Order: sequence, then structure tokens, then C-alpha cells
Amino acid sequence: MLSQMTEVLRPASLAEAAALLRRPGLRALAGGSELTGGAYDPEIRAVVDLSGLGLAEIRVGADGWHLGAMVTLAALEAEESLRLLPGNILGRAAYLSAPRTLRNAATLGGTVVGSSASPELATALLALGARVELYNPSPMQLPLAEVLARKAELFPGALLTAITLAPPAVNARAGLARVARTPADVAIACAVALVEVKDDRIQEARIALGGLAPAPALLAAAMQLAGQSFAAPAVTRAAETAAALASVSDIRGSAEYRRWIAPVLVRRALEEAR
Amino acid sequence: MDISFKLNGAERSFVAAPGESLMALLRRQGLVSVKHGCEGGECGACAVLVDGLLRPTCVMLAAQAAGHELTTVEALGDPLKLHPIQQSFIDVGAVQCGYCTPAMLLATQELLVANANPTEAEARECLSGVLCRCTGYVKPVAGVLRAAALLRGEAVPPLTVTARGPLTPDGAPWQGHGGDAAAPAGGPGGGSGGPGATGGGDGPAATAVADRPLTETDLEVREGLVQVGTAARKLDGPKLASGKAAFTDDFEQRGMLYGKLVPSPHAHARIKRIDAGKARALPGVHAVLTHQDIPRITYTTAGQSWPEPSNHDARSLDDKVRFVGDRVAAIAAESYELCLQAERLLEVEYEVLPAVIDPREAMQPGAPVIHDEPDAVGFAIYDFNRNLAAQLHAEVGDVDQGFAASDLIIEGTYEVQKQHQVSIEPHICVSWWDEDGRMVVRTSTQVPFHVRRIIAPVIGLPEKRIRVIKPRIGGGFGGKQEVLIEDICCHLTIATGRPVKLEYSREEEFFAARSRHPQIITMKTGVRRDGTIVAHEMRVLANTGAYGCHGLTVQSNTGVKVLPIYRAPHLRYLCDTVYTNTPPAGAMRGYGVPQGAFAAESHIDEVARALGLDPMDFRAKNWVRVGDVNPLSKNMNEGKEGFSQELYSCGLAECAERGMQSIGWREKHGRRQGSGSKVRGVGGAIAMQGSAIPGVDMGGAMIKINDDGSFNLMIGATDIGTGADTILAQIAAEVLGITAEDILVYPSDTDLTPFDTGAYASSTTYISGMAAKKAAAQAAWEIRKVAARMLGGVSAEHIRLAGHACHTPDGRSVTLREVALNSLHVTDQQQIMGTASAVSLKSPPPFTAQFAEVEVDTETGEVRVLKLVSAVDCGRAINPVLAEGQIEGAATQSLGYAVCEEGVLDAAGRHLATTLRDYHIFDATEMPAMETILVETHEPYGPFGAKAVAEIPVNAIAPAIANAVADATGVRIHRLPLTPERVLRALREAAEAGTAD
Repeated sequence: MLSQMTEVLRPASLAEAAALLRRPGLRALAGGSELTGGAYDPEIRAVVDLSGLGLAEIRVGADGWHLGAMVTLAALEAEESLRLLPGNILGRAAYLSAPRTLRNAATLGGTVVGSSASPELATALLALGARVELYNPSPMQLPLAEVLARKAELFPGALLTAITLAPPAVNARAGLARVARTPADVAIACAVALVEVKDDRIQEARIALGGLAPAPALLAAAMQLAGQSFAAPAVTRAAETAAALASVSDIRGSAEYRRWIAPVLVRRALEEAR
Repeated sequence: MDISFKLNGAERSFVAAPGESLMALLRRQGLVSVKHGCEGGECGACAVLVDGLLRPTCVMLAAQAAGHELTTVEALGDPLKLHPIQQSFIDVGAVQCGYCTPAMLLATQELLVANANPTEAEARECLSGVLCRCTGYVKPVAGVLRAAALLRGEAVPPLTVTARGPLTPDGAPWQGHGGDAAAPAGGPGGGSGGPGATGGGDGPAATAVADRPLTETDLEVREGLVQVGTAARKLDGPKLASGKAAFTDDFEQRGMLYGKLVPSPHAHARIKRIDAGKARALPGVHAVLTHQDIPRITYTTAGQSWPEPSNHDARSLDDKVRFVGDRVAAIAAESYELCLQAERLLEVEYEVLPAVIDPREAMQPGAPVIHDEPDAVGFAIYDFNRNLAAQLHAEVGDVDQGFAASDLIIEGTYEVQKQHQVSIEPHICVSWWDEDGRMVVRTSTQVPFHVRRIIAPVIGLPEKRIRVIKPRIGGGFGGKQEVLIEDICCHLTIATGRPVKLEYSREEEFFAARSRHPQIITMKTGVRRDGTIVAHEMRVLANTGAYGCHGLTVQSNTGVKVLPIYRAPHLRYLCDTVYTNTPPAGAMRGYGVPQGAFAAESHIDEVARALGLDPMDFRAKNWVRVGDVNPLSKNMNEGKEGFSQELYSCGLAECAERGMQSIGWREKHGRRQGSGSKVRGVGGAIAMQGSAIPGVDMGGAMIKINDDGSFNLMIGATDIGTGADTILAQIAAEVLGITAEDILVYPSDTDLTPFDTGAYASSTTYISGMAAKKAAAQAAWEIRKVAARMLGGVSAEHIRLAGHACHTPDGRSVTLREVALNSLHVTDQQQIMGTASAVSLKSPPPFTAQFAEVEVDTETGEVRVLKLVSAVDCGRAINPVLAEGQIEGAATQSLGYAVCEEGVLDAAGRHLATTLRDYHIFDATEMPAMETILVETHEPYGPFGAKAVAEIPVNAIAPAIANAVADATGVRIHRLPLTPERVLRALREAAEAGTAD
């Protein structure tokens, strides 16, 4: 709730926006779905409207995707080129992240670094090895994993401008598994696997888990699955390590429950990717 | 700041505050189709098309709209020229309360522009961003598909339902588990006749019509029903589908202030010092009220008939707070934002007291006493020193002896949670002084007359100086059977002299409104080997929270409507309702029955299993039949002695038969299906409710003719989105030989309509319907007399009203317009009118059998409900489409009760689920297949054979789902909701103990 806010600032350049965001009491306004609906925050004096900065573009090239931070979840869902990703993994993740009307409002950037969306989108991007372009205060690129890990330190001061994805290997496959109270509820936990498969064996696997901890995280043990068959005991053992990531207890489920289901989600995501 | 955008086709410029939401700006411009439902964008009621895409405007700054193109429902069409989407929604019955309708219509528009030929899945997807608490989405989805067909230029079939012929009191008989699976598809023919069913024994020979006065039964039996039993369009449909100003928030008063309550941060504390000086000094703040500023009047917020059978333990403001969210102070200021600022300036010093959150600890020695104030008054059996809000004890036969005589005794304990009503329109009230110095209160309530009477002493005005107006209501579900905020709104108007609007936020709806009572229920059943129930006992610990509103009566219903559905010579019901330092519970659809039905109907399946019987066969062996008397009905009725209730109509057997056929019971039950980690099962349960509180609920109706032969119908009955206005118009129209559209219904204004107890206890169709019917019959009699005089040679008794005219047996006629003109202007002038009221000592129970098919994921504990079947005996369905809408909506609420809806508190009593993100209600995409079966019977005491329909279908879905989960997994879960964690935990424990079968 921004009722006390006195100004909507409309910077003309990214540099100007980045500079504004370093001032106390200012927040980036993207879609507004989280910022404007949240609890009364007397700290917020003004918002920095990012809508005029050309950040709502999706660019596709040989080096992959450049997804502007202001692209809405609905636009991600509808983007034809993203359906080239194995299992349409990003489109599916965007769909699962918020209810329909909010997907027409919520943006990629706000969803990934915000706190109200279901965790699928950030989890999928993590598995896809996404990188984040931001001004902090000068332009830089960081792996998404690092941005998520340093979220509290980076924001609200930094300006997230885009997320980039390299094209996955031609033999990459993906799987997404989630557990929720009902199909349209926020996920209790989810897993996304991106696996390069050769001869029904895992060549390389990246597995991300969302909902277990305050931010989605990669499963370290997945890196050691190269050369394993999907049914190998090593895969089961790697899935079991996901339990250790679970720390969150909330109204949807306890940390203990999350420890129970984390390996199941990993196995299912891998199974779908197989 | 200046903002320009295109709004409904015109370039417009506005001045807006930087922090103003787009919702606020649009409403300020009079575009009141944009509704406030939450503050998180989840409910979608405020959504509009932004560049063709549906976006919630509560989470969008007005500034963000600059340069865009916006469309609201106001641009779609209006009542005089409805858009095909609007017309389709009205035609299929998709408009119930109408609060979310504008957003649903825009969602449809968004879809159909891009996709002229959507599938049902696409229709569901388009509606999924708009949450509806009334319909269960069945009819809105049908509305989308019908609109699509219309816009493609296709011919769509007319939507007509004709009334079914004469009905029997008991429907088709039980076939039994091994019996013929073919259930009757249509209605039973011929009538066996209950009391009065054939007009006091007169034979139904059509030739006799002209020889004696017509009775209502003649209308029904011989001529067929013309209005009753048809799918008359909802009379308020056009204005609701057009987003016209119809709800409390849609009318503004000049100089209106905004109100806000200051909530307690503590579960239990005494206010040692409160200083509002700085808050009052803030410019634009007009009043800050604390307990020091208003008289201390003790009352109950429960909206019930006088004397209210709830403990009088509440005050507008008190020097003690009893739950997190309890009232500390109230503020009125020129904007809501100023209220928020003033709230931060209020200085309060608390003496924090020990709190009791767990109801099991409430009556333990040494527990903190929540109502230690001397002016609290209990109603029946209570003990404030032990936090006992109410106690119930009823026994018939000798239960201990019954258990001793049983072959098998099964006992089990069940627990049900705090469920919230979640009407999409929050509680909202506007109060002002009128030109006569009277307090006018426009409020979103189910009980306008109770509001006037209950707030009168609290605000220090006599009833005659208070007028309560009920406009359209955006859903109630029991939450608005509470005099929740009207008192404080009036206090603020008195303090400031200004109109004040007080509206709950969605967060307040969760932490400071009401909920279904949580209960812990122990069932004990003694049976003989042959499956006869000998003794049946229910012991309940109920949690009423910090105040005792509905604490006695909800729990009374748990006993009186749940236990006696089975014949047993020995019955016992014991209940303690305790106070805790948690948000108060109150009335919610079903009113104690869903809690009891979950326990009892889960338990019945367990008893059947122990006996080796099919659970539906076991039910059939023991369930009640026509002629039975409810043995608890005399013991418990609103905390005093009741009236004996004999059963005159009961379609339970047909409900069960047809429901079992629909779910595939005989093929599926007991034959677990599935592969890998997914297992499927089916479950069923039955329930009964009542129709009104016998001897208490009363409704009045007045009807008068206009020059053109149309009528005004003034009723106290309170349509809260159910379609009650339409139902009552249909009943009156049937009597007068006209259509519902010829009746202008004016409901629920304490100055202008007769008294009615209000919209609760499933009373409106039954009680208010009888009043409307009687009033119409009086007017009809006056019409007949005038017509006989005008036509000559015929006595009034033999005049027949049909087709807007009065007919003689020999074929002459005069129109109603001619009768009206003659009567008002020409001969022996009089206003033809009728005034009547209705009350009943009988509360005929509607019945249901409900079934579920589920799939359980045994590795995660997720329960996915694949299909729900609701077979409901509501007597004659006055409007089958509206009745189906009630059933579909109730089943959906009950589905949420079963799997996800839970008001969760932490150890300090703080509510943890205060958004629609965390408190999840079902959206259109995740609904199971829904089948609704109306099993119509003839209830001789109801108007045209009708019983109630609103509450009955909310009762048996949750136990049906729990029974289906047990059928699928072999594991019985005794606690709602069946969350993934709860289910997986139970499966793991059963696996460890080896108890799954």
C-alpha cells in the first residue's frame, strides 16, 4: 500500500533509474502487483517507474534469450520462441507462478526477486542457468544463483534490467514437479531438472528446488550424475540430498514435510526429463 | 499528478494522488463495476481490461494507466441494451451475488476477442483470475460458452425449464447395494399425498375446478405450475451484469469520512493507558474513539431474534482486548490514508495477560479467565470462570444401557478447523444523519432488522431513530449474520456529525471477522451385528474464540441436525463451547452441521467397515423415513425447549441411489484403482438440515397493485446474492397469474418493508416464501372481487387468475390492468393489496447424499478431487437453476473445507493466513467435475412444496472426500483439511504401524 507516497518518478535512462534506486525511500515500480498491494510501508516515499525504459522486450538470438525485466508473466507464457526450450519449461513455470489476472500485471524481474509469487519461475530459471543483468550501480552481470543468494543485500538498491538464457544443448530435456494443496495454489515446493541426455544416460544435470528455503537453490549433488543411468542408485542418492535444503516451515507445510517430499520432487522432475 | 488514458473509448484526463490505486480512481469516477475484494490482486473483482488484458486494479497505481486503453463493464452494455456476454451470464444463472460478475464478463470479453470458439478448458482458464464464492463456476463457464456461440452467430437453444408435475413426499425408493442399479431417471409419477397435498382430501379431478374455490393445490396439481418450478431469470441480473450502482460502496454521501478500527496486537491484554491526543491532532482526522469516549453497553454481535440466545459479552470498545485483532480504538478521517497515519500516532500501554489459544486448555484449572468482567451475561448453561461459553446436554433413551446391549462399539475422535466465509464483498457499512436527525445505516448485512434492534442501545438511540437499508450484497455465507461493524460506524457518525464509511480490508476479514466454529468431536456408536444402530453418542468441544456469538446455537445445531439422521433408540449429545483468545467464530453456512457431519459420516464409514457392510447399505438400514420424529427436536432449539419435528417429506433414498449411480459406486467402491503412487477411491455421505428455526423465524410481505396491473412486493427477506427476491416474486406471480418480471421487488429496508428475521437458517424460501404467497393470495382475493363485480354473473370464488387476467368459468375475462384502473380510479376505490407474515413450528429438513471420487498421491499426500456429486432433496425447487447454483456453490465451499481452507493461528494467537494467496479458495481451472441432481419431493408445509436449499449441500462433501481418501488408501484421516502434509503423515504412520489395509 503506497498511500503515503508523494511521487512517481519516471527516469529517462537506465542509469538515471539506477541512481534513483540508491536513494533511501525509493522503490522500483515494475508491474506493481507486489509493491502496491503489500502492507502499509511508511518507508516508501516515492516509486521509480520502470515502464518507460524499454525493459519489456524479449530478444532472441544465436546466444539465446534476452528477457527484459518488465516482460510480464503472461508475455513469457505466450512467447513462441520460449516454447523451444525443452518441455516448454519457462512457459509452464510462468503459468504456475501467479493467478491469471496477476500474470497480466506481474513482471519477470519482480517475480524472480520478489516474495509473493509461487517459486516455479525462479526455480526454472535457476535450472536453465540464467544470468541476471543489473545496475548496481553500474551495469553488471551475475549468475541468478548469486542474485538469489544475495537478494537482501542487493535490493532494493539495485536495478534488475534483464535475465539472459543461453540456448540449452540440443539433447537437453526438462522436467518440472510441484506439490501444492490444490492445483492452482502456491507450491509448497517444486523441482525443475534440466538434463542433457545421451543414450538414456545423464550427460549433465542441473536440478533446482524452490519452496524449500527462502530462495530457490541448485542441488549440488546433481552435478555428479554425469554418466549415470536414470535408474542408478546414485540418482536416488542425489535425490535424497534434496531433503537437506528444506528449512522453511509455513502454513502450507512444515520443514519436516518438505524434507519428505524434496527427494520425490527431484525424482519426478528427472523422470519427466528422461 | 495529471494522468491521461483512454477510458471506454474516450480520451480522459484525471488528477490523481501519486499513491492512488487505479481501482480507487475508477470508482471515484463512478465506474462502480470495479469492485474491491482484496488488496493483493488475487480475487480479481477489481480487474479491468488494460490494452485488452484483464488486470487487477487494486495492485496498480492510477499513474501506471497513463497512455493505456482501459475498458470496464460500463462499456459493454447496460440493462436496456445488454451485450450477448451479459445476456448469456444472466440466462444460464451465472450471476449470483453479482459482485465478481463484471470482472468475469471482462474476462470473457478478453477471451472471445482472441478466440471465438473456446473449449471448456479455455473458458475455465479465462475465468480463473476471478474468484467466485457463490457459483462453483459451473454456470459462469456455461455463460462463456453460450456467449461464444451467440457471438459466432449460432442459434443457441432457448433455456427453459418447465415445472415438474405432482411430486411425492419421499421420492423413489432405496434399491440397496445388490439391487437393481437402474435408478429412476425422471420424477416419480402420481402423488401419495402428505397432509394437505391434495387440498384436504379433495380428489384431483379436473372437472371439479369450476364448482368450488380454487386452492393452491389446484394450481399445482390440475393446471400445472407456470412460474414456480421454472428457470425465471434473476430479476437483479441485468443491473448486476451491467455493474450498476447496487452495493453499499456504490453510493456516496456528501462529506463522507472514512473509518478504521485499530486492532489489538495482543491476544489478551488490559489497556492500562490510551492517549489519542496526537492522533486527534492530525489535520483531517475528525474522531478517534477509545473505550473512554463511549458508554459501556454489553451486547452480542450475533444477529439473532430477540432475545438473542448468545452470550452478551461484547462492547463497542472495551478496556480489555481478548484476541489479536480485537478492537482498541476507532478512527474517522477524511481519507483512509489519514486513518492509517492516525493509527500510528495512537499511544496505548497494555498490561499483557496470559492467553489461552488451544481450546483443550481453556477449561483447565488456572487457565486465564477471558470474561472476568462483571457485566458479561450468559444465555443458558455457562461458566465464565472456566471459560465455558455454553454447554449442551441432550439424551433420549438410555445411552449407557444401549451401549451395554450392543454387539460392537466403535469410538473415534475428529477435528475440524476454522473456515472463513470469504464473501468477495467485505463487510462494509455507511452511516449518516438524515434531515430528521435519524441515523441511516446502509450496510452489507444478512440481518437488517436485527442490526437496527441490536445497535439501538449500543449507540444510544431508540429503534425509531434508526433506519437500516440493505442494498445488493456481495455474498454473506453467515459472515454477515453478525452485527459486526454497524455499531462503530454509527459511533463515528455521532462523534463527527458526518457520514462515515467503514469497510474491512481482506486482512481484517480474516483476523477480525467471523468463521466457522472449530470443533473436536468424539463419536461413539453401538451397533448390533445385523447393522442396526442401538446407541449413538456425540461429544463436542467447540471453540467460539474470544466472544460467544452463535456459540450456543451453532453447537445446538451440530447435535440436533446430525445425530438424528439415523434411527437409534438411544441418543446422547454433549457439548462444551469454550472461550479462547482467538478471533471469534460465528455463523457460517451449515451452522454447525458441516462440523458434525464430517465426524459422524466419517465415523459411519468406520462402523460399516467394522461390520463388514457397504457403508451406503449401512446408512440405508438406519436412516430416517417419512413419519419419523426427530427425537432431539424437542430438547434443543435455540437454547430452549423446541417443537417436535415429524418428517413429512424425505427424498434421501432417491438422493443416495442417484448419487451412487452418478459416481459409479457399485463399480468403484472398495476396489481401489490406480497405478504407481496415484490411487483412486470413492466415498459418500449424507446429511440433513432444517428449513428455518421453528417458532422463531418470521417473515413479512406486502404486495400492492399498480395501474398497469404490475405489483410492488415489499419484503423484509434479505437477498444476499442467492436469488431470494426472484424466488419470492415467482411465488407471488404464481398466485397472481403473472410473471416474475411483473413484480417489482423492494427488499429489506426497516422503514419501508415488513419485518423479516433475515437471510439465515435456510429460512427465506420456506418462511418468507409463505409470507409472499399469503400476501399475494390476499391481493388475489381482492382482485377476484373487483373482477366479479366488473364481469357480473360470477362469484369471486370462481374467478381464475392467469395470463395477466381474470377469467370466468364461462370464458369471459378482464385484464389485471382493467381491474387496477377500475379499483384505483372508478368504483369503490381501494388500493388492492395484501399483507401477511409467516412463521412455522415445523422446520422440514432438506436432505442430501453427496459423493466424491478422489486421487491420492501416496508419495506427496496430495488429494485431487476428480468428481463431486450432490443429490439434494429441497422439496419443490421453486427455481431449479438458482437451486443448482446454490448447490454448486455450496459444494465448492465444502471442497475447500475438505482440502485447503484453514484459518491458522500461531502460538501467540496471530492469524497466519490473512490473504487470498495464503487462504486459498478454488478457482475455475482446478474444479472437479460437478454433478448436481435435484431430487424434488413435496413438502406439505412448504410453499408449493418447497423446502430450503442454501445450506444443505455444504454438509456432506467433506466427509465424502475423507471417505473417498480412506477408500483409496486404506487410511482414515480424522482431521480437516486434508492437506498434503496431513495425508502423507497419516500414510507414513499407518505404514509404520502396519494399519493400512
